Amino acid sequence: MRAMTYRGPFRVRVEDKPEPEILHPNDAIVRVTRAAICGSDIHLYHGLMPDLRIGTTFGHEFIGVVEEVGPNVDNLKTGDKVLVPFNICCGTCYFCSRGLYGNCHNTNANATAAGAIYGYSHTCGGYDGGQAEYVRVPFANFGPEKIPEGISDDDALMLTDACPTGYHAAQMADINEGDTVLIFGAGPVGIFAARSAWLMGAGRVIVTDHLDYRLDFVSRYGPAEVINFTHLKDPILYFKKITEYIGADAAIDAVGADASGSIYQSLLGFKLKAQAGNAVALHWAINSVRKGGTVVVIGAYGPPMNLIPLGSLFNKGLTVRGNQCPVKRQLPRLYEHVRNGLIKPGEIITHRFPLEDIAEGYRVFTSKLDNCIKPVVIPDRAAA
Amino acid sequence: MHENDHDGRWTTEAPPMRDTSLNPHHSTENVPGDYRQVRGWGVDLHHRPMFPRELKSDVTTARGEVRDWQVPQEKIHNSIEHPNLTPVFGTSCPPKGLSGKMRDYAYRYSEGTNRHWMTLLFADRVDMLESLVTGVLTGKPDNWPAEKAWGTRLREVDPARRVRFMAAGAAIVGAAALAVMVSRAMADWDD
Repeated sequence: MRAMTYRGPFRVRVEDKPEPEILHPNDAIVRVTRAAICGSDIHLYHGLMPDLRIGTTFGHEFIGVVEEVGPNVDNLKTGDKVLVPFNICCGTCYFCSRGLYGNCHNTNANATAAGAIYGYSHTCGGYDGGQAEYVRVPFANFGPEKIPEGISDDDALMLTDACPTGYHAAQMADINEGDTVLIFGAGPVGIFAARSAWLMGAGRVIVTDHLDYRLDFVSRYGPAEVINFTHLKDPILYFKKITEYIGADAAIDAVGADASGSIYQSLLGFKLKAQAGNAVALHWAINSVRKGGTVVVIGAYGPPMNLIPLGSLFNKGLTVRGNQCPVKRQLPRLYEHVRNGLIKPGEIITHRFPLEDIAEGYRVFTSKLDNCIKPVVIPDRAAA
Repeated sequence: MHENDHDGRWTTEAPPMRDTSLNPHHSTENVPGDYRQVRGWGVDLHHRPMFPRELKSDVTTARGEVRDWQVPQEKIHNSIEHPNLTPVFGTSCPPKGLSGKMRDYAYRYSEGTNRHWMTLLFADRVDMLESLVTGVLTGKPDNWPAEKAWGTRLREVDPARRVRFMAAGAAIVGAAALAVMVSRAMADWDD
């Protein structure tokens, strides 16, 4: 089959790989009909995730058609159209039984610090991802869901990660009626977090980024107040100033390890690899939230360590929450929101590439070319 | 006695407030004045899938009940923080070469150690160098311009940046050519 493969930082190509096989009775094989490139794939593309081996196929946002099922999979059959949540989870371990599907203990042999994710390095389990023609789906008796009536393919694709993750971020922010929510990053997750913050009852939603075209989009889609932080001499001071010098009630870091805005952090994180990427968004979030407020980490970071102001976190009495989104817990409510038109996930898709042109897709997305917000790749066999 | 006249030591008048105005680039144009007018506002105020965060469970073991276990067909690195190998695991890219030996070493240490993570990061770079060589030996050499999609970048960037990029390239090529010419001239001079 044809599959995207990682060749080193900033380099990917499509090559022939063996088709996946059933390796466990709870497995299924899914023929991918479309896959998205996620903002967190950029961290992989830049080589920031440890144990990212040459030849890995990325892709944790995908939908497809069931081609084959193992003997224990009785909820799906060949030919079913499914959306596959990005978490690989068993549904029965200590953590899954408590609803923490992003923290499954039975699927990631390589690490306990992270759950298993399709195509997200060996630190996240060493599974190949969905930017390919076929993919192995472990615990298919629990993870994937048939795409329900009234949910389009584009909506379903965004419901595998980006949309539930933004929705989850807004929930972790513990928003009370009328709260001010400050969101760092106007990428797909930041956009969905802004939309979701209103559903949770926010009184003010402010999004900051350095890309005007993304801010324009979220200002309409959220809606949201928007400000390009490159116009601000001191962003933290500005966010204090516009919140009556109190600070936002909640701040959401929807950027993660690939942030811009601090030469010092970039030098340590990108050039010297002395920390897990650039943590400037989290740094700003901690400093601009109010005392007693909540900081949400939904942008992805690698496990080693990052420089953040722990003294301020302590002295301000902050609550910090983060987690990989347990997608399956969000889906029933999100299906309702999509059907009622309160969230339109597919609207953020801006680009489509054939799988064979995936290097171009990564380049356009990571370099923020052509006003790209969300690129989708479509394998040749999608329509087979 | 006037209430503000305490030998100038205190007053009931607050100091002037600092500016709280919005930056001219701060846009609020698409947000309604009354936040309750935002479409869907508050529908999840008391209806959130993640509350409570953890569901009740009587599972007390790390694995829960597992019936079937995937059997390794190649080397699988298993975190020493796990009680045993997980029931399923990924089989992408088994360890190989020097980078594989480095990964073997890294997985001898727990996830709380820098030795674990930094060795893995370093192994990733070694893996890349090894793969450059094996790519050539197996007839599938790396094609950096295509894999980095340089053409796309050149095509998509704004014209001013493209001109600067091409000018920089021309300058580098020109400098190299000049260096070659100078060195040849100096060699001729020596002769």
